[in-house]
Amino acid sequence: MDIGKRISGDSLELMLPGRIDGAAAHQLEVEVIAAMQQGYKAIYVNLAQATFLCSAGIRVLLQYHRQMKGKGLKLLASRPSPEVTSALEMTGFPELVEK
Amino acid sequence: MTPQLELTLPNQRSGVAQLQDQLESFARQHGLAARVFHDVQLAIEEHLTNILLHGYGDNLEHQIRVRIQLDLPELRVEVEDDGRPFNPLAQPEPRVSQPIDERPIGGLGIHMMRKSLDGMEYRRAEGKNILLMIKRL
Repeated sequence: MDIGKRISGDSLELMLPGRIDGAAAHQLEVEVIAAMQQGYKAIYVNLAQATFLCSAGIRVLLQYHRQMKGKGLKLLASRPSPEVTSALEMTGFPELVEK
Repeated sequence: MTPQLELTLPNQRSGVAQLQDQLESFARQHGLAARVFHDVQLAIEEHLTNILLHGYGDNLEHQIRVRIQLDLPELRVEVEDDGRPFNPLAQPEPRVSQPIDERPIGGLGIHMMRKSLDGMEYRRAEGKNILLMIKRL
């Protein structure tokens, strides 16, 4: 999966296209860990082009949302596609999405 | 004749990805609605991931057999694996109304399967787990 990146100040946006399966969830985790080490204060996981979000992906979002929140920082999913919205609602995590 | 697709994949991530690609072709070929197909794909991803992560206590290669049948008005997917006995239907439901900071991270995969499908049937036979997933079209 080719993860796109957009930086603005101390915010990072990661763009994830296509199917976020187990392997893609792992790739996302690697990117998030690197971003946290680089000191970004806000990380947005843009899911406008994602066709599919599995539980492994939700777990990564949840785990690092909590970690960032614990430091007074932010990690949220942004612009979820309808399929992603439905996956997040199905599992009860609408708070992971940027309003 | 009932359209069907039968595949065997090894217990590796690359096998699952290939299966998903073939499933996509099957769906396109038979004009399945995107929504229906997405839900089936999600359930399959969750179930196969569980098999890969929890099914085996050894480092050996195992084969997983998947059979997909378009048996109107249903799409039926049967997954057979020779891993540890595991019945997804017997697992407890996660509490989706707990506050986000208290939610345990596990158990989501099976929950997503339940929500994505119209039915599931499990049986154990001849040392294999056999899970049938049903989606109404």
